[in-house]
Amino acid sequence: MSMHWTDRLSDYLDGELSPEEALALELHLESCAPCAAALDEIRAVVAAAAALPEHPPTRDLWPGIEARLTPRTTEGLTADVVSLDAFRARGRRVSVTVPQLIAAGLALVVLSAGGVWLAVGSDARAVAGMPPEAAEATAPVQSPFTYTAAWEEAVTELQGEFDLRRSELDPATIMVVERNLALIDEAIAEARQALEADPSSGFLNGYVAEAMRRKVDLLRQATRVQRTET
Amino acid sequence: MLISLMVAALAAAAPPMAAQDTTVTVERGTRLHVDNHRGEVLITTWGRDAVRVRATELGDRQRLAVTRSGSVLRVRPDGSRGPQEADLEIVIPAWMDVRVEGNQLDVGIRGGQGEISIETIGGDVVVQGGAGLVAVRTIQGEVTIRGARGRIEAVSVNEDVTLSDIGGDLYVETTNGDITLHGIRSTSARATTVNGDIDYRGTIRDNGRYIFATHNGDIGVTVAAATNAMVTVSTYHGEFESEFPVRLTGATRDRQFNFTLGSGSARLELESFNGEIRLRRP
Repeated sequence: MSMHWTDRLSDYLDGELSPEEALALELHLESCAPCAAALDEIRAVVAAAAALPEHPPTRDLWPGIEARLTPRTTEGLTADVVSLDAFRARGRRVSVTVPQLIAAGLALVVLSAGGVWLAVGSDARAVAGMPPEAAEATAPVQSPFTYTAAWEEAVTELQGEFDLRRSELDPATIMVVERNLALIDEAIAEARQALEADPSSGFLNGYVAEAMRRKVDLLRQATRVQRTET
Repeated sequence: MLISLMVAALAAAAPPMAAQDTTVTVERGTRLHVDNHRGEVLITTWGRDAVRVRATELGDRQRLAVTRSGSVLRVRPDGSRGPQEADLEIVIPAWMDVRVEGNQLDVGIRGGQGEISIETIGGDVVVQGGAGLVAVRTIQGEVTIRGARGRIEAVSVNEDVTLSDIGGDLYVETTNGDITLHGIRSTSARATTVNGDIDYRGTIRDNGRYIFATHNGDIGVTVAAATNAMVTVSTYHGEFESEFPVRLTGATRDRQFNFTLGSGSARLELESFNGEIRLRRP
């Protein structure tokens, strides 16, 4: 396998190589089985991912965290999202490189909140994995998120990474991120207090989970920025 | 040592580079990627299948780089000293998809009919037009989108988000800012903030789904008389107010209550932990 070409395979699939580069790669593929196999793998991932909104794969702590959150938060989502014909038809471009394949598999499972909403927002039952007839009888629709310890673990890990690399971020940006994390923490604290007084409240449980989701998103965004700054 | 000082002095005294201006033809389907660490990016459209880039305020010893790689036209200030820094005025064909990335960057796009994707840390973003996917994500910037069609994702952290004259699905989020949604024609809209108000003036379409939520803020939604929606109101310390009479269909439970308007085919969920929720007529 040639490292020179492995990082260009995704560009090749996206038609971003010049004709000369594409020809050179095709010649290389004829004699390099590992690269040809890698190309097939990327092609398969891209084909499946084409049904989803663009979501850059990560090379950070997130895949592990995401894997723990997935079963509790968006279980059953994958099939529903991938099966949306409308999004398949849009033929979205998803660029994937070989080192990102593992993360890309997870990206197919869990999307950003915005991606989830735009993919299935008009049909909340798809998010919850509920058959429409069952969902009709259930009102109101609760947050798709459930508050569990996994959210706390995710926050702790991402916060650790953020703290570790805080010198890599502009101080003004750090201040803004921390101010907003504090706002979210206040909201979480208020909602938790309410939940302690009323532990059976589905509304409050979903509310805390949604606030934790927001905190995780912000920490993810901040740590991603830290990585691009270096 | 002396040589170093002289070099430093010469560099400091170097005049700013003159504006650089270039125009390249593009084939239909070409995408534009703009990467500029700091400065400004203004993009407008014209009727030609060509891209014109004019760079001013270029950073020290930087030059304008316009390169083509397959179906992507990349534009960025380029230089070995310091981060990319320039003010860029770019004219593109209206059909062109655009992606802009930067750090402290003001971005303005007007007249585009392709997909738009913008990601910055700071700086304001104003988009007029756009179709398909219009995605804006920033931490410190204010986001304004007008006249976009398709799927709109507008996310800030520390500023307001304002959308007007929008047709399509919406996902809007900020943490410390207000969300204003006016002239919205959507069947799917979700807008959330932690510390800010949400104001929605738009359609509530049959079978649509609308979620508006804030922690410390008020929510105002216009609801036309002919609306068919099941409405869920959730609040902990807040209040609910309606300009028109509503009839609760279920017992108040779990700090939520419901009522149905018309056939109830749409879902409208309103949630404010500490603020007021108001329904009004258009």
